Amino acid sequence: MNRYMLSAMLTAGLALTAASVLAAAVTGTVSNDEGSPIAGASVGVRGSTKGVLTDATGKYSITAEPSEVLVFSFLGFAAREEAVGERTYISVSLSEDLQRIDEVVVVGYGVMKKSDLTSSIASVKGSDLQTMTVGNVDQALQGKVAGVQVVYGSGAPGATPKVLIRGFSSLNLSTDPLYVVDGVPMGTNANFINPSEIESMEVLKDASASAIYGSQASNGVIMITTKRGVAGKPVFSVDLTYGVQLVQQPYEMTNVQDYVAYMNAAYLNAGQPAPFDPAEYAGRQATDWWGSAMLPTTPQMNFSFGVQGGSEAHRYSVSLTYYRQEDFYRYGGDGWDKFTARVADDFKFSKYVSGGFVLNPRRETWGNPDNWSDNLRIDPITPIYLPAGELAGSENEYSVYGRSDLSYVWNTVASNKRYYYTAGYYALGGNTYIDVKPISDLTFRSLVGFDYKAQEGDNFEPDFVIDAAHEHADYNKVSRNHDLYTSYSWQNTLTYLKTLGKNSLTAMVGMTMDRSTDKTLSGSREQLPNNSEILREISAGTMNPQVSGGYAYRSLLSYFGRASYSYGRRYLLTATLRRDGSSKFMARNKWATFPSASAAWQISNEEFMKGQSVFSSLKLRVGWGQVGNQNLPSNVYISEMYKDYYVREGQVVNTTRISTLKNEDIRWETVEDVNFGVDFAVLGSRLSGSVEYYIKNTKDMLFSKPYPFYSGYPGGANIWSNVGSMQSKGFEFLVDYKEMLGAFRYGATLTFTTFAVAATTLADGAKVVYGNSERTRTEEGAEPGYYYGYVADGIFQNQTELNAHTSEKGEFLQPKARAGDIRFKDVNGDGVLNGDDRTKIGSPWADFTAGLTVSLGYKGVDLLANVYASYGNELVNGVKEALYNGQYGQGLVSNINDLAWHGEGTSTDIPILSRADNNENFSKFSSFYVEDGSFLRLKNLQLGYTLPPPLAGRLRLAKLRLYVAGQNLWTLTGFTGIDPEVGGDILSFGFSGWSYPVQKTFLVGVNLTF
Amino acid sequence: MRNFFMVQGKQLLLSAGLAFGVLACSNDEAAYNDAQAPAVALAVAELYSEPGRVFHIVGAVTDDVGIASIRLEIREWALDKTISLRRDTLVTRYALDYQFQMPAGADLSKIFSITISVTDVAGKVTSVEQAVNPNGDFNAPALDAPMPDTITVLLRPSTALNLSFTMTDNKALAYVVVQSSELGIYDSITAIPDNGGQSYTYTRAIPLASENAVYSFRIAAMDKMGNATESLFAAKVSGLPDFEKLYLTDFLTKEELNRHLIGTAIARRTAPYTYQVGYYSKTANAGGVYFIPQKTDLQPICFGADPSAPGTVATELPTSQPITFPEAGYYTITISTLAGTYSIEKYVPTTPTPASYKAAFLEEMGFEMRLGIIGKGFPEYDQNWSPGAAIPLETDAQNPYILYKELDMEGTVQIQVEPRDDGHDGGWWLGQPDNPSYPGWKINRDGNADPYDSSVDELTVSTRARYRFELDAHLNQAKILKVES
Repeated sequence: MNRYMLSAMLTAGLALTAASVLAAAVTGTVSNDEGSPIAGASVGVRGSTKGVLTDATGKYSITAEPSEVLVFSFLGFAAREEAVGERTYISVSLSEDLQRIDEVVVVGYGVMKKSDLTSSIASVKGSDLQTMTVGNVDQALQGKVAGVQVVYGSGAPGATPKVLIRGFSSLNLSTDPLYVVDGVPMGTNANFINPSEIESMEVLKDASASAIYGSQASNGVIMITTKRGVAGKPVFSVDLTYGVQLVQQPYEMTNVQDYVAYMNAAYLNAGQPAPFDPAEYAGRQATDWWGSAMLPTTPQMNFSFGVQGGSEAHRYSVSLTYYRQEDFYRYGGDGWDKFTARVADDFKFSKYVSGGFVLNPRRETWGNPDNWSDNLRIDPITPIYLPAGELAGSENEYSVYGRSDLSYVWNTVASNKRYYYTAGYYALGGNTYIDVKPISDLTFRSLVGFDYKAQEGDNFEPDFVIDAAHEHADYNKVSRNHDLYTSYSWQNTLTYLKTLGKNSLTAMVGMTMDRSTDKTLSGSREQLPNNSEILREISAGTMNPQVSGGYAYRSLLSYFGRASYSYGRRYLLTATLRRDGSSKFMARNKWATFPSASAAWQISNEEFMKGQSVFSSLKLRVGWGQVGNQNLPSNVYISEMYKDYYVREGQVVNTTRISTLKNEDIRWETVEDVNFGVDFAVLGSRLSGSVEYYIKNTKDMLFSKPYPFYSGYPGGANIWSNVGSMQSKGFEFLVDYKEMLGAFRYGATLTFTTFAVAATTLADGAKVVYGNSERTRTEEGAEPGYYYGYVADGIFQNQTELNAHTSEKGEFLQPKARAGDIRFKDVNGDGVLNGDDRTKIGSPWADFTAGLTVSLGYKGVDLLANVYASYGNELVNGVKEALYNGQYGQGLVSNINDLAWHGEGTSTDIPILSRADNNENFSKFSSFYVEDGSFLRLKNLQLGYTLPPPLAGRLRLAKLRLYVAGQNLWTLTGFTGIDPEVGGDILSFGFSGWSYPVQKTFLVGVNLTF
Repeated sequence: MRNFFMVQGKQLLLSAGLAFGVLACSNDEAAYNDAQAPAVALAVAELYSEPGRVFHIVGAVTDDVGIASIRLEIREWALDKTISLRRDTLVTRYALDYQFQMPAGADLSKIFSITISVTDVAGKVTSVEQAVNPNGDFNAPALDAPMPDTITVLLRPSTALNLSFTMTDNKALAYVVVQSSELGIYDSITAIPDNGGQSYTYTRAIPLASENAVYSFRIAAMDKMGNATESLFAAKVSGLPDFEKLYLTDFLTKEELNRHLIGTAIARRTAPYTYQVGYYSKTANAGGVYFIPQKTDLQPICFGADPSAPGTVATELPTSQPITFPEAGYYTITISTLAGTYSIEKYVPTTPTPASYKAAFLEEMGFEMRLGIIGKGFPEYDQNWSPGAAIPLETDAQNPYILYKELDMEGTVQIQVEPRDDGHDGGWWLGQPDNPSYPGWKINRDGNADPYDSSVDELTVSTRARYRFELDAHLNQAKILKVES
């Protein structure tokens, strides 16, 4: 601190001295548009060799004469010139260079200038991802990259969104992309990383970009580059965000009196006597299940601390982050905690050798109940606690609760108070590398990455009796699991760069060895002496000891290479080749080769474009490549058996059964794609973007199909097979506009994504593939996983309509239907309503998804809004089965009397409330459940204020920004289910049920740099 | 020149073709417009039906242009059905056969009318009316009890067949015929005064030769709407047969015997001419029981007590008297038909009662077992072989072994009594014989409910009626008795 003051005084003194000799010391600060200091910016005197760099807080000091002009520049920003004149203090803010032609983009096993790219790679800056406070970085990615569809699916703490890069290319295997962090493959779930650790994120969308990752790349690759040290004084940054999520009860439920009346009606409508005497319930208050079991608000917070700095010889970056999202359960939940540290050191040992390492210790914990919907489904009559008069006095603390005898839904407060499950892990990941440059054009890099994750789960289930028949656990139980997951990756690459005149060549060859292992161990026992906390250990159990464990490993050996050639920065060619050998396949199919080639024409660099002023940049790209998918279980080449038994003459006979049959001929699922793209920048680079079209063909699609009966193997045995092929096509674009009008700056980025998928061929035995209990269907020529069911053709209004719903012989199509029931369509017109009348009743796949980011700024004030939309898809609203159904005696929505059919002329699609579902209104899967799933959601709205640098300086800060934000504040949709962002596996996509709702979140935060 | 003709020739051909096309179109158009309206030929001018009965609207529809749709309307009965025919094929003839159920509460005092409107593809419509008389008769006359295939007539010095039956009809009988060609009998009764013509009771003692012989009989009847019925049987004159089994009945008249769905129990043959059965006498000296070989009649053979000698057996009414029991309780009855003796032995059962099964279950499992009816044919209940919705049984106040339930039955009835495990919401199949620890009973048509020696039989209740189902969990016997409404 004293040093700072001394420095300021010296600077002022020097300035005074210099002024008297004309050449004066000029000082100031260089910052970006948002007021953040830029460290390492160049400040030079035009026409001379004089120049300095800004320090970590953006400050500089340079000697210059009044007649000279200072030039301020920094990579990625537009240079700015300022005449010195009489000034001795010149602070400038640099704007990002909208053209950004020299931006460096991370590609597989290397980096490339963005202008040299020939394939489809989208880049997102870490700062753009950090505008949202989320647990999983993919949630912040939503809408920001064309071609990438992010579906939240759940708002639960720790939930992983579904990420589809250019749709999907597999029916049965995982469709999650591969995450590569600092060059090391890290699996298919990005939960482990905190967005504030990220410097940039690159999405390798087409095969020509991702083929370098060969067999792991068919779902696309997301490259994450974490923050590294910058030479200079240490820069400390602190980001603090705290917010609350508003927990909203999604449906208002009936009070006691209405419930009694509606259930009586439901019984009468079913021809059964009414069970309730309304007089008995007059004036009775409904049990406040929601209020008793749920919290009205839940906190969400993110705290990040970082320091970066170093010298030319040693750069360092340290970050500590803590993220917590609490769940909305009043009892039993622990929410989600994530603590992440990341230490990165880069050393330049000599002119020839440099190296570094990253260490990434992590701790994560989670655990919360999953029964929030029961607070709606349980009836309002049942009391939470049994009245004192009904207690014997000998019950334990878990047995004093009321039982819903009509609905059979378990008491939610009781369930949550019995919830003791917690899980978490300790992990240490990282990598270390060494670069050797024996000659100036050649670099050898060897990198070892690793990740150890020790995961544990603890559970205790107390004994209790709420209802001896239905809601009880006779013995308490304790269980624990300890699992160890490890992965290693050793990579060696040799890269050669040579530029001769207009010819530029980059060649890279390399190899990797990857191996990952899973070890699992779990055990449990029952009947502990009591439920006290101190005894909740397995050794205290006295009954039914169980233990199980397993081991699996996967390994991959790969050789690869890439060559990039550029002529005059106009004609660009890139080719890659990778050969993978995987432990998942037997000898005859163990190895596969994945080639790619791409080319680009940078038209704007042509001579004939020099004179025009329309295009700042114009590039055409075309790429082709093959990638693979090997995300199938590790052991499909061996048959699996399981223990079973059967009863013969009253005796139990132990036996074994085959569950999975081996397939030694299994091959890779291969995806081949062709990509066409245009990148452009016009209006002086204020408007830029990309337009792309692609066609992907999947062949040898892997599928777990039932083994044919004629084989003699028992029913239910499955075999992994290469069953068919699939094609997807898509169009996508990104348009970005940025403008500055004096102190006012604004910009907008629009992304637009479409894709259409169809199964092209399916093998014998799998010509039709059903999913989700035959509620989706996939067949040749059709989009996979379309909703398949009966067509609900309105409600029978009267006997005449019932009498008319017959075959041409007069036989009733729905013999048990009554007025108020759903009329199902005889689709094939054969006069019989049966499974053959099921047809396509909706598509889970959106016609398009789009994201819009709008940013506005005026001096220190900034405003950011993200909007995301999905259009044209249908969703299955599974909660209708509970909310509008009197069959189970469960809670009913308060307006059910208006919603459900209640007499001739009722305009509704909801059938009559009835205790019996004789017409199968609810049990038949029909278009009754299918709704338009389109939505538009304001994902993020953030208003910030950055103190002017001088003011921040007075506080001894380089930057101080305060902001307020709201996430998921507003949604426009006609969908009546819980939430329109619904995910799922490919064959059961779009089935909305009681998923944890995405909450509205209000946040305040501060960003500090000093 | 050649070219000229060729070109001209082609033009001529083209012109001719066009002209023909125009003419053809013109002709078609004319035919289309001039087409006859659809024709409807109904099978009958007037239909007969009755409340709740399905009738068929039958006829032939023709139209040269093509039939588009057929609309059937009976406004009063909420029928408004349009049969739309496929448009991708030409349908010029359509065999109409449409069934419709007359509403249960239809007005019987008037004749209704069906409007049948046929529309062809040209839009021409033909409408015809068909009358529906709601007072049809569709039930054939019926015997008060089904005749067995063979009636055994015991050989006596003066052998005779006492033939007695009642023929009934829901409307009016036209005639009843009793015929035996071997005996030269042809009794034709056309004047039927009984009960407004709805029933006729035939009684005749037919003398037979006292020698082993078989005589064939035919009983026939027809009602005034032409619904006929016929029953064939044989009367076999012989000495006392060694029957495979006997039926035990405590209903002492033919009418009572046949009123119930299951009213008898099986007396098993334990030795030649010897039969044994358990019986629970609800009260002391109640009406008593008979043993009969023919299930539906007390004639011609009816083993009972011979009042002239205690402990001896009489074979026919009216000599035969019911075997009675001096006290309430369980008895074992043994009867020897050849020796002409019988004995009764009272005992106190020791087998587990349903209540003791339940208590053991409760102690073991911690929650209640419920015994209930599973099966089908119970219109009051949503029970179709659903263990989760078993119909609960009640326990008799006097006898803890007897479980009972009064309920309506209709159509095909099947009954199994199965314990319901309340630990499973959807119910659970627990009972014997699969699980010896828990009780279970399968009801067959003879009343046998032994879980190890029985199967679930289909019983038929043509008209919905109320019955009392009664299970004796000690004797493994079941009864299904009609309840007086």
